[in-house]
Amino acid sequence: MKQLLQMFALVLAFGVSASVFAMGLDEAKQKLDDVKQQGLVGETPTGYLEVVRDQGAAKEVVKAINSARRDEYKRIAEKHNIPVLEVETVAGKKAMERTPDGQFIQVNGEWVKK
Amino acid sequence: MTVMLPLALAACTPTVQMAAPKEPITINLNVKIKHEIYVKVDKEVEDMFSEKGLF
Repeated sequence: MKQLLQMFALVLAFGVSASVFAMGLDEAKQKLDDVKQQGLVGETPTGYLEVVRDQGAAKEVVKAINSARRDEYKRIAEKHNIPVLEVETVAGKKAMERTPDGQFIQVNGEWVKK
Repeated sequence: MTVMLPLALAACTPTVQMAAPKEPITINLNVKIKHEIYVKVDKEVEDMFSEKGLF
């Protein structure tokens, strides 16, 4: 019984520490606009974000948002029975178009300020 | 000369041949369906960016 309790505590401790290190999606959403405006993060033709300048929360925000985007792209692709790549391409094009002036987009592998 | 004229005219008349293409309907349908899917996917991506805050 004691062993079981210890095991339980261990699992709980790992769970808590993991949530401290990985940024939650809600927090990432809140910070997304800031890191974009600061020029730390930009949109790419792949439909995903990438770090332009590794500073502050940039990396964590990119990771959390990209993971959520990946799930959504997959869901849309499965719904219409088309490859995920096609959804990603549509999304990449849209994301770059929607990016306001002054923020970064990736064109032919180079970061360009719109 | 009067004998040659109808012959010359007949020689210049173009012949138009009509042949049914082999699979026109299937191809058109595919294009239409693909376009419809594209429109839907485009809209869903749009919603995903604006409503779910992933942009």
